[in-house]
Amino acid sequence: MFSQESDYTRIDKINSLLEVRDLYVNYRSYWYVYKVLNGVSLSVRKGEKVGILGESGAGKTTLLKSIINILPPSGKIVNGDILYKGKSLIKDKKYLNEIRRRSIGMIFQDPLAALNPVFTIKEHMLDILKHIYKNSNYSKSDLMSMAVELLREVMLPDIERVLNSYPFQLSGGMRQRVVIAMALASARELLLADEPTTNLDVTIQDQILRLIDKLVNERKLSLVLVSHALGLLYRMVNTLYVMYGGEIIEIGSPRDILKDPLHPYTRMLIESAPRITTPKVGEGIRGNPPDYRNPPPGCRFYPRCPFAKEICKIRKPELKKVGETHYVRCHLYE
Amino acid sequence: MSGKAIDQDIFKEILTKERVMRREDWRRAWYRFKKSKLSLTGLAIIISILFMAIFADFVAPYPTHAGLYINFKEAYQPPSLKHLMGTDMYGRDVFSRVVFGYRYALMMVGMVLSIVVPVGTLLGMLAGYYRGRWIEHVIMRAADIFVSVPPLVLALSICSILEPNVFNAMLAITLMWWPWYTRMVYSITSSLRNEPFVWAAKALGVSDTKIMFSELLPNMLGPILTKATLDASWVILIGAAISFLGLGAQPPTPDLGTMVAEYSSYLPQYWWMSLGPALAIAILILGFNLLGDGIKDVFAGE
Repeated sequence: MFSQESDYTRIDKINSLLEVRDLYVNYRSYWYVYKVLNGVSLSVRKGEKVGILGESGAGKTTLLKSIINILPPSGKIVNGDILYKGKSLIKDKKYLNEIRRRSIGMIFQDPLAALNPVFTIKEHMLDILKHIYKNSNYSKSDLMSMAVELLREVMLPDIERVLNSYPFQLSGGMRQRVVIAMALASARELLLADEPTTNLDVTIQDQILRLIDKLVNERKLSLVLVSHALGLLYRMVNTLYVMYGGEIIEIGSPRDILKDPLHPYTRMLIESAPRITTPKVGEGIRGNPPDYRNPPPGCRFYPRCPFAKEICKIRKPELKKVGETHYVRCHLYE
Repeated sequence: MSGKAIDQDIFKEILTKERVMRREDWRRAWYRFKKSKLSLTGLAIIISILFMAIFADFVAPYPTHAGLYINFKEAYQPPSLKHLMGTDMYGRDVFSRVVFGYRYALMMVGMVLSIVVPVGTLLGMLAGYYRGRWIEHVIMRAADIFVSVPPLVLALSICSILEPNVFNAMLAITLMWWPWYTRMVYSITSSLRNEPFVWAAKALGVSDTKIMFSELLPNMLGPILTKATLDASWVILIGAAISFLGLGAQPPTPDLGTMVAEYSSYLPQYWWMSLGPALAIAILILGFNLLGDGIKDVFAGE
């Protein structure tokens, strides 16, 4: 079943920092196997900013979690590989831990849940820094000044109070800034951000994304950003991946994707985003995301696709190059 | 690091702020605790009993009466100022024996809980964290076996297999008690291990042991401490029951349960003899229960 074509030939092997090759991830419950990721390939070059777009349940979070191997116990990587600087993160646990500790940082969706409720921010920061620098002998005051430095970088006001507060004593925006500071501590090369603004109000969302953008630029990090904010993705990222039903269906520069979407799903997704210039609410996309227990064998979007053809039922389309940087996985363009 | 001088200032401010905020935390905890007069009563009872038990040699009016001591001239005296709880059939001051009895009771609580709480917690944490692996099944099925026998029956059967003395009674209670902690901690751990802050720790490559002890354990201290305080009274009660049935401490050890059993054959004429130790048990248990409620209030607000 895994003999389907893989599309990682696209990957620029020399400059790539992170490569996800043809990844299949299943979740297992007592009765069913949920085939969530279905041959996902992704590459992030040094300094590249990658955005992932897709509706809820498309497998975006699963993809990010598989990269640093924090899938829940029910989730299993059944096929494919994840390479970081050419070495596998799946096969070499020691390398994985080293990379998790010093190279990759992750910002989680819900900052309150991502902080341990019984520790103050100071204890969090010191613990993390102690863990990250466990082989070098920094004194406590060195770590402390690093913590202060990090919190200043995320532009938190009133650092003395924040450091001595428990997570529940901070506002949502402040918590997310703290979480970003913590992710920055370990993200020397790559920052993964999983919908970092979902639980925040609009003005704070904007601030947080701008902050992430600024920090990533300053520190020359690579970024994988999952977000629903189309406009901000357009401005922030170099490459945009569109996911549907656990597959990457379209890749391109933000301009390609947002100005000239090719895949029917991408088109409908962009059309359904509310816009101030159109008076009416968008059409939306009828139907539900695929049932992962028994996904459609061909194109996973075909049951909802208005342009579905006979072949879409049977064969999974291949990723096809349609422009300089633009790739699409759809039978309409073959 | 840039700006060492500025950092020094900030550090000082952070430390000052920390002191202020931690003091506030304690004040808040104390405020929650003292809101209920009953918790305060419980605290007062436990502190005074602890004091009596530690300084039993000085508090008891007749310290020698605790063990083997015979003075038939003073036997069967009803309660009076000289003998607060009267004297027994050998002329021993019952109050002095109760004071020493507290020492045994608290020692038993201390010994049992200091073994049961860490062991039960550790096993529960392992089983909960490695849920679905063989280690969970081994630990939890063993716990199920121990839980499936009524606790007192289990303790009694262990005691009757072994020689009846204080140490074996403690052993029996320890053996019957650990599964309750294991089960509680197991259920808390298996829900906590799916919290994003555990993923976050894993995303940094933190080891499982470290996640268990420094991320999960602090989150469970509230329930564990509350349960331990409330359990203290149960340990005393079960210990007294074992002694009462003659399988625990043997006379002339001044154990409260043993004393009740020993003196109960002189009821109802010499009622004060068994009333003293029985009342002592009741007060101790009341104290622990009220204290446990107070501790629960403190943690419930967090």
